[in-house]
Amino acid sequence: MSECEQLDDYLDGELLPEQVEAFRRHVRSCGECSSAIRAHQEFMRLVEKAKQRLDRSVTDVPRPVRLGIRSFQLKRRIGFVVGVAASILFCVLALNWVRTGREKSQHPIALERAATTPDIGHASPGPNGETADVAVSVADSHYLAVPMKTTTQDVTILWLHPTHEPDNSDDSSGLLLLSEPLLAGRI
Amino acid sequence: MGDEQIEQHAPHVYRFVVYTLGDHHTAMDIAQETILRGWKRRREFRELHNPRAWLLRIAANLCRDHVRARKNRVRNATALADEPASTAPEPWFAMLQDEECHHLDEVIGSLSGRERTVLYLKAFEGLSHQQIAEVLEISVGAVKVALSRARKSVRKAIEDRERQRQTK
Repeated sequence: MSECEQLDDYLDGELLPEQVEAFRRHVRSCGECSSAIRAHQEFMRLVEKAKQRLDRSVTDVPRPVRLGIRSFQLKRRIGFVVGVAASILFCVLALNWVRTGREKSQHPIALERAATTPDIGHASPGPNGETADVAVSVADSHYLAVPMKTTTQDVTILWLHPTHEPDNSDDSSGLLLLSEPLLAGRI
Repeated sequence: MGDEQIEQHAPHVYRFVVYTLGDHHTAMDIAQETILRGWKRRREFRELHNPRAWLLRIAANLCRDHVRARKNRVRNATALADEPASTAPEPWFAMLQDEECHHLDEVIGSLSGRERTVLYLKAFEGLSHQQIAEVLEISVGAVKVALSRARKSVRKAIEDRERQRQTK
């Protein structure tokens, strides 16, 4: 490589110190390289002057740029708040829906409530003195009430079997089971 | 990279864009978009060695997109008006209202787009060959070639100017 070809590396500061010294010795005896360096120095002088004037002319640049960033940040924060609010609302609605469904599944009365609630306060022991199954009167009808197990202590469920007293007074059974039971309850 | 650290590069980005496109308003828009993109990806580039070079690369890509869109617009407009198209950037050192700065427009006026940009990044921003290559997404060899050609053109323009001065 001829020494003139090192001109660009010299201008870019990419030569080693010993190479710089050798190139400078070459420049003293090379009109082509010395005029190139003079032109480069003149160009850099113009660049420095332009930079100084440019720096004065662009001092107001960061402000609109900063405003643009602030505007973007504000939009993003609003979007974040709206998103969080929507998520919370969704969670509340979902929890409410799940809780309602669970209550319905755990509350047998809510699933199948009797059309008329019998007055079980009139319950009386069965003909054979049973304590679990009692005969009750609702209006003019008679029922055999059978307490059922429930999932909560606050709920009482009775199967009410419609009964009929036989005309034959010799029949000691007392009550005849007539039809499908009704489901009744009290909370 | 905090907000302030990104924003402090805004003048450099603006200068680069206005040098490339020659339009203050467009340069401000692109500089803002560049800084905004940098801010959005601030976590990714927190450990970046040279954030300014990275921001300038974003700006260079945005400028390229803008010039491409402008060319398309001009092509469509001239197709309608049947007039010659011109997409060359406006001389912008003239806006500094200084005779010597204005002379820079003449000096760099003969350079190609890549030579102009490479020379700017070297002379104004002081980037290394590697950083210029990253900004423009070209090889280091291509940077050296463009820089060498640009310097020869600049040297010729400056020497012509000197000769004109001496003859006056």
